[in-house]
Amino acid sequence: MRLSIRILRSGIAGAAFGLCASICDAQLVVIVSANSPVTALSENQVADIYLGRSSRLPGGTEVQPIDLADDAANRASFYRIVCGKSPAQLRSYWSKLIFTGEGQPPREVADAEAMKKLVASGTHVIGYIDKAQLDASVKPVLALR
Amino acid sequence: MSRPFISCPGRAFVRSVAFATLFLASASQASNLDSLFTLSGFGTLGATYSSLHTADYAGAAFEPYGAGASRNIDFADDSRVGVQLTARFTSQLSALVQVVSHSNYDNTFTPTLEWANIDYAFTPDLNVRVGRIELPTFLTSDYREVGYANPWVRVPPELYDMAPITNSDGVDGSYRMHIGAVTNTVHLIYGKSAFHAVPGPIRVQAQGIFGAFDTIEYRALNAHFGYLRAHASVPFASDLPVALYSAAASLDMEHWFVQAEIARATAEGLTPGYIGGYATVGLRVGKLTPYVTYAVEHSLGRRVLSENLNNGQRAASCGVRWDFAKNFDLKVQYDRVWTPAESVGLFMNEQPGFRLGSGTNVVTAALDFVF
Repeated sequence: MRLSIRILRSGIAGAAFGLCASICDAQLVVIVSANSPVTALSENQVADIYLGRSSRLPGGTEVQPIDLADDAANRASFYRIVCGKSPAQLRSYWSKLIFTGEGQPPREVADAEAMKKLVASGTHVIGYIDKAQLDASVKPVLALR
Repeated sequence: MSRPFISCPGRAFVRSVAFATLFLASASQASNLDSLFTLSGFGTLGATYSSLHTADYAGAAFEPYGAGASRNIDFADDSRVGVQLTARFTSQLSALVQVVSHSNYDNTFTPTLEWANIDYAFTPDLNVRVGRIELPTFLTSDYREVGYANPWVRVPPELYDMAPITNSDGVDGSYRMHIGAVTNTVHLIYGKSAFHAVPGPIRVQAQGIFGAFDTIEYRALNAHFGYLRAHASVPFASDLPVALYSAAASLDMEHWFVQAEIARATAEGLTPGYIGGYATVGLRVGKLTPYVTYAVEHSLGRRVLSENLNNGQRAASCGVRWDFAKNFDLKVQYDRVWTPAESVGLFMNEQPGFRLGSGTNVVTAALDFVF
């Protein structure tokens, strides 16, 4: 319900500003800091990092994944595309890891702006945003469709 | 209540691990308590009905009563609550304490110290733990009590009751390898354990527990192989060899899942030995997850020292999980249970009039939550 209202709201906003491209054709990109040596990641690598199976980037640098808030539409799309899992499936997945001490889910941020800021601040952080939200502080390493 | 957490020789040892955890915690800076500690919890409120009134249907080992003979609707068997405190002192050193309250062999809900260990990660992929550690005997052993993490109202007892011990006091190590897109984790464990089998006074001690496990993860596929051995001692015999081999796989897709396990367990002189297994298939339809399960425990008919009439059990189940709110689910499950002739199966508290080879219909409703 909340999700559909949100989509509706952004749809209205998009139409109003004539920015439909970023909403109707929303494309997510996985990002790292502009200063990071990483240039490309595969879907499998990103999935392993976000599911707590791997904590390193190719080359050996430790990596910390960042999530959008639990109810963010882009977060649901991200996990559906990368891991093929629904929000409820993911909560069940993480409860398996939490209650065996194997790991904690990725740190959450409120919105894409906060995500960009955090990712830009260090070379060991990865996140995901809408392609339209890209700027010089971060660089895309994987496009998701 | 002054009842001990659990009466076992490793108690002092585990307690010192718990104290060491607290000491390390207080020695760490108090300013970043938020990032240092993580408190999590889980629980299930279950109600179970069994149509056979001459014996109790037991959903889990170690529980003194069940639905059927002792209770018309049993709220104890499938209910539990657990709290876990994780402390991350540095990126390499962490500790975990988990306390669980469920129906105990002595008909109390006295919390037991399920796990308490200190974890040192030499690298992000190689770690060693000391303390009370979970025994990853089967695919979901690590979280068998976390209803929210499992598809059913309870783990299939036909398989899981073959090796119902959940922890061991000792050490373990695990090493994670990345081979292309495959993650492979090798896990070795050594320790000892003690527990009360039902009926209560029978205390079983397991010494020299050694386990080797391998877990393979590739996208939605998860496979688990295990070997476990130990020596069990009971009041009437000691050093009885116990051995278990297990294999399991699950495929967790966006719109469906399938999960199956098989194991062979022998406890010389204590049980006739069993081969058990199950297969579950489920669909994901919006917030609903309907599923069906078929589970078997087959007796190997080996010689036993004292009477053990569990010569196997079978069950066919269907149910549905409803993820009605964030971090909550509601499940309803129906089980049709059969036992072969001359077997009491997993029934207990048999009343006059109970016949070997009986079956029952079980209906369970469960509310699971995590926080």
